[in-house]
Amino acid sequence: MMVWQMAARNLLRNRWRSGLSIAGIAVATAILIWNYGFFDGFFDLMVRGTTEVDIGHVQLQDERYIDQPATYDYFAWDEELQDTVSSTAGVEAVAPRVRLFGLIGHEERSSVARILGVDPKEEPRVTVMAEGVRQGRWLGEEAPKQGAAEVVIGRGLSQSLGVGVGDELVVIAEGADGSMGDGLLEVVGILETGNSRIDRRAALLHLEEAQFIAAVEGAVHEAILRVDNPGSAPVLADELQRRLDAIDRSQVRARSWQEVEPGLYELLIYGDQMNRVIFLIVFFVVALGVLNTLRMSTVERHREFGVMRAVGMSKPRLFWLVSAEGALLGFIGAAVGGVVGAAATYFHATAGLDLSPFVEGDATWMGVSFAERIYFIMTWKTVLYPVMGLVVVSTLCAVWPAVTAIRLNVQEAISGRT
Amino acid sequence: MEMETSQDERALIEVRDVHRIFRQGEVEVHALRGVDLDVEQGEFSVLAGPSGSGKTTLLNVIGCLDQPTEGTIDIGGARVSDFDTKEAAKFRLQNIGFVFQAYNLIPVLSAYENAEFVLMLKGVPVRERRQVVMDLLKEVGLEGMEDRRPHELSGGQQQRVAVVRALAGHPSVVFADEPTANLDSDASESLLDLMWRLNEHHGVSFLFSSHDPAVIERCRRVIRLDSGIVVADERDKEEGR
Ligand SMILES: Nc1ncnc2c1ncn2[C@@H]1O[C@H](COP(=O)(O)OP(=O)(O)OP(=O)(O)O)[C@@H](O)[C@H]1O
Ligand SMILES: [Mg+2]
Repeated sequence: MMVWQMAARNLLRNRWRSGLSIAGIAVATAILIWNYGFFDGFFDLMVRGTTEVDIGHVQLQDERYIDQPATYDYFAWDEELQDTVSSTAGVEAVAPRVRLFGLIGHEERSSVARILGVDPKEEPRVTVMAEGVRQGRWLGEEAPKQGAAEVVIGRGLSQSLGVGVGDELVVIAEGADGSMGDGLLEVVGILETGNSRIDRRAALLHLEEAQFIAAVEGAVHEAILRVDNPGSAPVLADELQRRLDAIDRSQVRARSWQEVEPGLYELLIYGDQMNRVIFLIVFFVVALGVLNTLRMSTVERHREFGVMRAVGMSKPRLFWLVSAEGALLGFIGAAVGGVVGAAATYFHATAGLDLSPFVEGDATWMGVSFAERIYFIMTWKTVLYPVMGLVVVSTLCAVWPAVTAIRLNVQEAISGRT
Repeated sequence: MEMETSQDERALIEVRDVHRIFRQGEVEVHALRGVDLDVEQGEFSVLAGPSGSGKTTLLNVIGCLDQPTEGTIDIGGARVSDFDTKEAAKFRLQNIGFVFQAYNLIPVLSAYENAEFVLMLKGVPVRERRQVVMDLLKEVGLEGMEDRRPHELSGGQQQRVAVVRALAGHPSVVFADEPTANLDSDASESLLDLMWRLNEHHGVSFLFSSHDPAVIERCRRVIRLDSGIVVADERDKEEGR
């Protein structure tokens, strides 16, 4: 007679009680998996929404620019620097940028714009900006001809100026040297990235055109990097900084997204801790239920344990027999919950979960809109952690009843005195 | 812990000046007050006496379920009164069979599984187990009821399964504390018949405790207890049937 078979039959003795425990474990497992998948998807959306649209994984800026962004706080984007950055291990792509505020408009209307000079070829390798073009097209790769530069503007800007693809705009901005730079631009694309910082006010120009307007030829205000592992961007940033120091460019600071957006990073850490607390609470609640079930089912079997011990069953064996019941409850419950939870998470990983009914208006956090679909992330971890956790919890719940069982005084148990 | 079978001059079980005192807070219950007793191989004996005289207590200490407060017990030359709980469990498994008054069987196991339980604990291979257990079940008249759960058996049938379980491991002695207490007289009668036959057939010693006259009548030896001491020892009585 196998221990598992006995354990299974013992659980079947009180189907309702065992069934409820199993259902409790299953629901808990499913909820934890779903919750885990949701948060991972949510964090992923947050991180990608921030890094891939705007700030990149690692940024290079002049240290003064970090304190107080100003057009004259640029740094030379020479070949030595470019080589140093792109040859750093883990760096996948580098996009240089010129940033300045300016006035953009036509005869009737004008508006303040965040002017962003980008390299049309490199920028799409770091951010998804180019994918956000909803009308028209992305900037052409060739250097702009004098007086016929292209511009891609955010949806908000296009609406407030009342312009569309093909219309002409004039841009005026103060250059790094204090002179007023201007340019004539043709709108080639309208941008909608989901990141409101970009969508409302951004005007994207060819890097060289922006350098000309800002009077910073050969220099940039920032370079943003895509790295192979966003989670360890701080390590990479440190290494990059050492290399910058080594070529005497220490005024250029390398900062990870975690450093650039500490609020987001803290949110992630906080969310992770929240998740742990949720796990603990769920584990605790499940443990109470399972413990109750196992206690009840063993207390009424003292005489039976006494007989088993009397005829020669060893303590370890009896311990194992009782523990097996907890383990089995856990296995069945977590297996059922694992399948249900994984199925639900998979559904929301592929179809996404529409959050707009739960979010008022166009709620955003750091420019990332919540009023859209969240695609859950399902990995081995998000499924196995809850499943294994609850099997362990349920098995541990059997320890107390099992210890009670082996501690019974055999003759008292048989005579029904305990 | 193996039995020393060569010691012919010694009895199978030797109980010497055994005391058992139960302490319940301030109160001390002196359940056994100096019991001396020898039980030979192949005996069919009963501990008789009024309620509270110490029958169960004595069976428990001899059966290694409990330890005497004072005195020694040897079984087959082994000083069982010195065993710790682990040694006692192992000794019970190897050398002793038990039949209790009631609730002997494990409810989730079938008659067959209950009967083979001790053999399973001993690690006897399945095939061998099957042979021994099926033969014994047949011998006690339970053929065809192997798959029944205890609640599907009568009280008498349950006790027979318990007897098979006790005997299957080939113990040298079977202790049975009031085995017939929950049975009607017909069932008691046939259970006793059965144990009698098994005693004859297998040479296993049986030591009962009982105040059932039917049991006392059938035993070759009646050890009378009163207030925790042996007050009479009637040997070689007229055997029943
Ligand atoms: N675990 C115990 N704790 C305290 N007292 C006990 C315990 N076991 C037995 N006793 C006491 O020891 C005495 C002998 O009890 P025991 O059960 O051996 O009697 P018995 O002869 O088997 O009686 P019965 O015929 O009623 O079964 C009784 O006074 C009983 O109350
Ligand atoms: Mg008794």
